[in-house]
Amino acid sequence: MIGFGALFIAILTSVSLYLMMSSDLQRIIMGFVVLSNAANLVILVSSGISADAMPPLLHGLPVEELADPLPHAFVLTAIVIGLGNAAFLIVLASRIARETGSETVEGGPGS
Amino acid sequence: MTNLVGLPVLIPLVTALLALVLGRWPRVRFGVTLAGQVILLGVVGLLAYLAAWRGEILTLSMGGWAPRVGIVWVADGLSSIMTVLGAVVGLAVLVYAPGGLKPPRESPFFLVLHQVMVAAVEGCFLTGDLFNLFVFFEVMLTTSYVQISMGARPGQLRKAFPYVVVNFVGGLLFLAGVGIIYGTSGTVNLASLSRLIAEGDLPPQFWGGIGLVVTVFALKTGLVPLYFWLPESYPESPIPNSAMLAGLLTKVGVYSLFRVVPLVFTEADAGFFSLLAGVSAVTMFLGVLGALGRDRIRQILAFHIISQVGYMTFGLALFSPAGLAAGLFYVVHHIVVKSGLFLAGGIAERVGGSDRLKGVGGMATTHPWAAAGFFVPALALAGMPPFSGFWGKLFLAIAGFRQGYWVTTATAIVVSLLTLASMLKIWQSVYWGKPEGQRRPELGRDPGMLAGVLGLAGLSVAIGLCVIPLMLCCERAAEQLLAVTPYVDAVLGPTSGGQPGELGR
Repeated sequence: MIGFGALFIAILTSVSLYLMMSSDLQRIIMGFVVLSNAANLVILVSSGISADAMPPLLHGLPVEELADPLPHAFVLTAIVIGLGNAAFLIVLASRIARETGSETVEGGPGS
Repeated sequence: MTNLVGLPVLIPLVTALLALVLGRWPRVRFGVTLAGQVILLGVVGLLAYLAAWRGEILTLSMGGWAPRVGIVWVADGLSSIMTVLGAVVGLAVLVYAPGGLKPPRESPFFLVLHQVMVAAVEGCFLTGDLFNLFVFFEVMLTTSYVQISMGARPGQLRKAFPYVVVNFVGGLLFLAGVGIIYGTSGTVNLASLSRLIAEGDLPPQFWGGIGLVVTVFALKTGLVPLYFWLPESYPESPIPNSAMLAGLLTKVGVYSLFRVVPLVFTEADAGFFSLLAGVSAVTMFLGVLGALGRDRIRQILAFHIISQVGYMTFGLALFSPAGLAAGLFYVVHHIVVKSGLFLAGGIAERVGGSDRLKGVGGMATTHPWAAAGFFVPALALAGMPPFSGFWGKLFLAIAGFRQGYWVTTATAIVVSLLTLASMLKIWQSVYWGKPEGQRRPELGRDPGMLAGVLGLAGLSVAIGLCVIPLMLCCERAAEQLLAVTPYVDAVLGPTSGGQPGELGR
């Protein structure tokens, strides 16, 4: 399970790095969104939740069978923050496109 | 009594809400915000008296959860000194803001954003666990993103984009680091972590997580080689806010290093500390070189932030009571002086219409008070006696030479001279000579702006004069940091509770 998760994180991170190397604003934003998912996965995978762990909402189960709720809380917080940040970036990029007429970063081609 | 620890975050958040609701009555809104800020200053003053002067460590566990899994607020010497600085700079910026903002775009939401930023900065200083630190970092940065792109000038938006992206990526790395730390140790509470490290046998992945987190702090601090984003973006923000960014935001990174490094590393990690000392020396030097080549007031000042940050981390790298105390004293001095310089340079920018050095001249004859407000912190920054910077550099140099860091200490002294040179450059072209290019001289006489600038300049003089009591506070805080045990015991209780795997309530 951890091996598979780690592989997935590696793929997501490389994709996001590739996207962020671009000078195109939209691609950079996509890269950021992918990277934020990779970071969330890091938390989930490294907390070592096993595949058959029970949700910590159920009553009457022994503590050992429940999943640790704290990483979930971390990831929830991080998702909210990441969503807000992505929204802000998209608005910023659209303003840049409207004010300057180009969708590339400063110094990029076509700027 | 311990509820006091939560108030510095709560008060500015309430004020921010009120400022949002009272948008239709600008005068009432400003009055309420000002009152909130003054109350905040009183509260953190009391906190500093208890924690930094009497040496108590105040803790507050939210909802009574065990510190290992719950949210803990801690005020020790270091935290309480920093909260006072946050409130002082916040107040000066607030007083300055009505005159310093360029209408109409920058004004409407400034007060709200400013108060949220103050709350987040105070939260960073008071939180006792890494995940909360991440959250407050993000809140603080989000307000700064909005402020930096507030004017919506095309050039400003283009400068804002890289700033936002760099800080986002930094935040995500921080998050991943926190996740790894939690996954390998079972806690993100700093005191629990410190206890676990002392017990040993943590897996190597844990140190990978710590490495990520420390790197992100270095990014936020602007240490070489992670400083490139700072001097481009800070000057684009509205003038009052750039003083907040310059004075407080990078210093939150410095604070985090001061907070986390003693809890995690020990004197045995000599490699880390010599690396930090080397990085500090390069940071000091490259920052001041960058400043020499610039021709806009706020860009020069922004490069000096980088250069000055090197002094503070050098104090941390010395990792002795004297070195840490000197570094801490330097942080205190720097926050006051650097915010003052940005505000004073901002007056010249308002008068001249741009912050180019050639844009305005002869401010000293036409606006003597504004000139004085620049002159005092400029000399303090360069380290001229009797101002605050002289003492900071003196203590640092003594500690550095005593511990045999010859190269870094010598660099620090050479860099002071170069700092003086670039302050003189601003002084000569903007303040000295015949008045010219003053398009709107009346803007430079705004009483609020002058009060903010002169207040910070006066504080710099006061720090220079009251050096002994302040240094005593810094020494106490430094000893507290190095001893580690008082902090850990205050958070977790003297017995070793909070075993990993236990969900205790």
